[in-house]
Amino acid sequence: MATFSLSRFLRRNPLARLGVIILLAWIVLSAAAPIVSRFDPKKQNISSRLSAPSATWIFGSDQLGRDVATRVLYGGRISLPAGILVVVVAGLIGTTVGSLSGFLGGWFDEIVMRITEVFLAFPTIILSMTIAAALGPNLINAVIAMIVVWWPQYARLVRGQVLSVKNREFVEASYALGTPRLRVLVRTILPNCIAPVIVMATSDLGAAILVFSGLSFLGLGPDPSIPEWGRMAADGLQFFDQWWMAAFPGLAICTVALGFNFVGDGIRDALDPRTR
Amino acid sequence: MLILRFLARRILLSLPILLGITLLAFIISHLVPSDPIVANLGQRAMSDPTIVAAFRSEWGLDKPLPEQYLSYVGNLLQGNLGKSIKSRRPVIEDLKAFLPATIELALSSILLGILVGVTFGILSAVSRNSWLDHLVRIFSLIGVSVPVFWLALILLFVFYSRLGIVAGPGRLDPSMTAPPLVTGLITVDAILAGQWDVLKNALSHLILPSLVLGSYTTGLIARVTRSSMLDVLGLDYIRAARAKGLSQRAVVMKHALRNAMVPIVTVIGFSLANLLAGTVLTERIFAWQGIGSYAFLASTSLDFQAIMGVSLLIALVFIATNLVVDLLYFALDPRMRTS
Repeated sequence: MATFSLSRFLRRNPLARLGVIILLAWIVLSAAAPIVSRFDPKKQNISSRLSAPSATWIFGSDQLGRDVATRVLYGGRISLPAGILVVVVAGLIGTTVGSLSGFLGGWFDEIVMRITEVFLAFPTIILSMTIAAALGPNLINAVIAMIVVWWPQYARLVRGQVLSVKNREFVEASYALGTPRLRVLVRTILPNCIAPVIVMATSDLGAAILVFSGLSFLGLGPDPSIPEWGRMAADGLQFFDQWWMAAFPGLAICTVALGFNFVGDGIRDALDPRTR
Repeated sequence: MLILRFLARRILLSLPILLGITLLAFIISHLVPSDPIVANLGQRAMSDPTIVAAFRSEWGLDKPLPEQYLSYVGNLLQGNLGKSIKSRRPVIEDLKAFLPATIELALSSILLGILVGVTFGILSAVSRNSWLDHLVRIFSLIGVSVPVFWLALILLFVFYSRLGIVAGPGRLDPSMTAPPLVTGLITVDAILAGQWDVLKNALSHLILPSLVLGSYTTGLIARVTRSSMLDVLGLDYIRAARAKGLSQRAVVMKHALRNAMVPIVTVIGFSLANLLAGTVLTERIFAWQGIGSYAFLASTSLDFQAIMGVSLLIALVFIATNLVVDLLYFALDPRMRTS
């Protein structure tokens, strides 16, 4: 893999550039939500419930008179960290398990691989719904449920990478220098396995946000008072003619997922020249 | 013979995975602090110890966990999937009742995905870097970025509520009677019975959920078709085919597509299995009484016999489609037959 230059990457990939701009905009807007909006995302105002979009309520108001635009902004504070947390933690667990499995081999590898196969064959949505329902529906448990479902694919990917690297000459050279085994794994083998993990993780971020909002839409996410996009869309389903209640939170999810997918696609193109 | 040995090996290898799935489902649905009693008995019944005790013994919940699991596996080996706590019917009966609706939906979605995805994937690859190519790429990225529930709400709002040109949730209008049950697929049963107005109504109900469920798949198939075709179109034998004066159509459709098929078939097989599992949201929104709705009810009420039944079913479909895909490799690539 050639050295990766961020500025050259962004110059050559207009879609990736657009993705980065979308994501940065979301991060800034949701972080600055209390400054951008003068509304309180949780404050109810029954007298002006279900107002259509107007100069005061640019995205309208919901069934409890809360400002939809404000709640959409605050929603970024839930969905973005949740999606990133799932992918990062699942990636770390998968990398640790997969690299040990490929590195140690033997019975440990056998057991770990049988376990990952079971996880991979288990229908993911049923698994995450069941875990979220069993632990009790809330924000943290939805994230835990997704991590449990998500790590095995990273474990399998990293294991394959470690197997293909561990007998190469530079690894043997490292042993010959008397480096301890674990240190060889961490310092010599892993750095050469990490590129495909990064590609997979970037493309997974969009998917993670979609799945998280889906769980939340089904009522298995944060409780209803918390402004979360999937949950807001589910509330909107009950007020079908007040289209703005579901339309704007959904649009928010869509733009964030699209942003991640633009960037992920660009990174894959950059690292895998065949698809260019 | 080679194929038979291959089949036997694959089926044997899948058995431990299926067993693992039951164990995983069992462990999760018995995690602390969850309790199927809380999920299934009302507040009043919960406070009555005799009802709770009767409930426990009826469902074998008073036995130690390992014993509960072993008795489940014992029943499973005799083809008995157990009884659902929620519906109080044998799980196998539930699955038979709910599966056809999902098959109908998944098949029409995958059909849509193949028609639209493969066509645009090819067009995109042939005219690489044209405006059409860029448009297809952007649309396929949007296809994998739209939350299904949002797409469903928008399509329902526009085409059902406002324009009124398609039917809304459900599989048939309430005024319609379902055709005599043969396959359970309403469209097929309506054709078999010659009830054309029922067929028309069923198709009108089917179109939106198929679009919604198929959006992700269509995007995926288009992307894989494009990159696979690009790989093949760059090869020497394609240049040779062009050099001998073959038309563009013959080069693309006869020479290139056939060799580009292996990854496309793989992603179609993979998508079909994923559609079955991914249908939960679509079915919930369109009040579609299929496997997805059943899985949702089973998961949220911690009805573990039903969870295991539905997971096993989907895993079986997953393993079976993988097998079919591998067999298609034999048909598509003669090299596989000799090695």
